[in-house]
Order: sequence, then structure tokens, then C-alpha cells
Amino acid sequence: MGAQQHPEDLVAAYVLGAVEADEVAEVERHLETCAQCRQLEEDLRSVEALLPDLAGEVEPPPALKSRLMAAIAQEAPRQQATPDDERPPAPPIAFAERARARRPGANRWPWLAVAAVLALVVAGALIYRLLNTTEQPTKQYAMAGTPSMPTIHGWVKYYRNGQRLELDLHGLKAIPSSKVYELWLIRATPSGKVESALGVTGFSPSADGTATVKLSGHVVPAYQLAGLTIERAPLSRVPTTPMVAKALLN
Amino acid sequence: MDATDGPSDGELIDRITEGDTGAFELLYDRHRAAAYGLALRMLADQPAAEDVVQEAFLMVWRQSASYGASRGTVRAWLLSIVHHRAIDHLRRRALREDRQEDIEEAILPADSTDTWELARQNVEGQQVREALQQLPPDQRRSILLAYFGGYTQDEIARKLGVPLGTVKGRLRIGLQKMRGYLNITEATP
Repeated sequence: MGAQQHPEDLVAAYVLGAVEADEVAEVERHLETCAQCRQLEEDLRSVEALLPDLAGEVEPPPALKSRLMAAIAQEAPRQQATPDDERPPAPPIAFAERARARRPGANRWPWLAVAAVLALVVAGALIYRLLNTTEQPTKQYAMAGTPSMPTIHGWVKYYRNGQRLELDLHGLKAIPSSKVYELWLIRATPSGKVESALGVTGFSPSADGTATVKLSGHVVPAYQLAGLTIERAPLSRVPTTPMVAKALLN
Repeated sequence: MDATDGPSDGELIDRITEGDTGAFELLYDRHRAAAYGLALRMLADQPAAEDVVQEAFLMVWRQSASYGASRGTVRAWLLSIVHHRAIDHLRRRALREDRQEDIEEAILPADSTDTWELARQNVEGQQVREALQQLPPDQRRSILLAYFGGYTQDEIARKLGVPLGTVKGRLRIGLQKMRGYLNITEATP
């Protein structure tokens, strides 16, 4: 493929990730030398960047964040800003392993000092966070299971500050990995007829049947009902199954 | 996440480059649901989606210095990493057989809303969904198979029983039509 042959159609497939590895290299070589195709790529990327919105948002299990932060903690010392002239050469092994592998010596102490300071900083940040999670909800509403899953019980908590919503549930039955629980905020007429249902988030319960979900930007009291359904993962745009739990919001 | 208070994503990336784990945590909290939603839509498997999201955020942590505004927004960059990781996963494990109906059915509106009757409001991606619906079915299906199914253009051609050149054209023309539609929509009050 020369610079004079414009592989417009291959650029579209490239933008969508629908080309093989060898074709990726081919397209990228061409893009380096062809302003016309770079412009096409930019145009098509502007659409491709919006496609994730079609998938919708789903809350990952809290354990994922714990695993991720633990992995980051392993790598954090490597990235901490230390003056270059004080930074010892970093072999490509994790900090903890490196610390264990080192024999006692003069160079050990600066690292231990840095690690100790980091530990204090991290501990301080954790304590700060813990202290700041004691805010009382502005309102909280009891959520209870319907006859289709009467084991569910818990709370929908609303914090006016930040319009935050916290869902704290127990008794959720395990569901297939292809499905999620989806929370809906529902507007209804005084007679109880559903006017609209806003899908807020999807989530999966922990193995012990609990789930804690935190969101912001929702004025919960503006709705009359919160409902929970089981939808096909990642989530549905409209509720397609009967509610398994609900909470009256007034 | 819809929380937009506090430092911008760009500022967080700068801080992450300096090793700021708090900034990383904030970035994760902002975009975790979009990242997980995309991975889950593509993989339809929760453990695999978790792996992909973790790999993507780890890559952000390790390669934050390589991010530049020319790569689009931080969110777009992150989701692009998630997308590529999910494609790798799909191709590595060959999980994608016979999923094209699932993909289209999952993305496009259901004809019936059962007892609930009304569509949800303020749907994320409503404009994009409308743009997608404007396309002829063949273009729409090809784009969905490519983006969410992780199929290569050759695989799509085989799956749909059409020449490769036809698929290439559908992908390009489909995206260009969507772009045009979205621009028109954006200009409309």
C-alpha cells in the first residue's frame, strides 16, 4: 500500500479495531505519510469515541477496586517523584520483592525511609476517608424484596450534599454472570401508574448476597419509587422483568 | 460516573504521572462504570470484564505520561484501552461465536417494554443510538459486529456471506453517515 493509494475503507476498519495485527501496522505506516487519511481517521474517531455510550454504565464489584488499588500500591514506589540523584536503579521486580531481596547495607535506609513516609501518607489518607464517610444521609428509604425475591432487604440512602445515592442491600440471590441487578428510579402518577423509569446503574452482588453501590448526581426525592430488576448484562434501557425489590421514596 | 466536581481528568493524569494514588482512585471512581459497562457488553462475562477493566486501569497508571490531549479526552483514551483489551480477550478465547444477534438486540431498543411501557429518560448514548438507527441494517450490523463483537472485517465478511470489499465499505460509509447525523443533531437546538 503506497502513500498514493488511500485505503479509506481500511481506515474505517482500523478505527473500529476490526483489522488484524499486520494490517494495523500497514495502516499506521500509511497514516504517517498521508494527511488525507489522517483527516479521515480523525473524523471517524469522533464517532468511534461515542460508541461506548451505547454500552451503558455498570457498577463493577467493589472488590475490583480493592484489587486494583493493591496492584497500584505494589507499583507506587516506582513512580514516586524522587530526585534523580537520590533514586537507586530500579530492577524490574516489585518493590516488596526488591525490599526482601536486599541485604542490609547503607543504601537500604533511604528506601525504608521513603517507604515509611509513603505508608504514613497512605494511612493518613485512608483515615481521612474513613472519617469523612460518617456523614449521615439526608433521607433513607427501606427497600424490601417482592414475592419473587422476598429475601432482599436494605436501604436506599440519599445525601443532599452532592445529590449522592447509596444503595445498601442484603439477601440478593446469585444470578448468572450474563445478568445484572439493575436499579431504577421511577416517576409515577398519584394513582400509581408508572410514567417513566430511569435506569440508574447495574451491579452484581458479592458472594454473600450483599451489594453497596454509590452514585452521585441523582435527586432521589424527585422520584416516587426505586425498583430493582434482573436484566441481561450489562444493563437494559427499559425494565424487561418484574421488580424483585422496591422502595417507596416519600 | 457523572460526578464532575474537583480536578479535571487531565489534572488527574498529571498527578498520576507523579505517582499520586489518590488521583488514580478518583479517576477510577469517575470512569469505572463506563469502563466496566463497555467490557461487560463486549465480553458478556463478569470475571473477564473485571480482568479487562483492571488491565486497562493498570495501563493508565503505568502509561499516564504517554497521554496527550491529541489522543482525545482521558475518558475516550481509557475506553479505547478497554476496547482494545476486550478485543484481545475475545480473539484469544474465541468467545464470540454466534453473538451477532445478541449484540444487535442488546444495543437497539426493544419493540415491547412489557409492563413498564415507557422508555427510560436521559439515556446515555441516546443520540448515538438514534444515529445508529438511521443506518441501513447491513451497515449497522457490520459496525456492531466490529466494535462490540470484536470481529475482524474478514470474519464479518464470512459471517454475513458478503465480499470483504462490501464490509469495508459498510464500515466506512456507516461511520461517516453517523458522523453526519450526529453533527446535524448537535446543531439542532
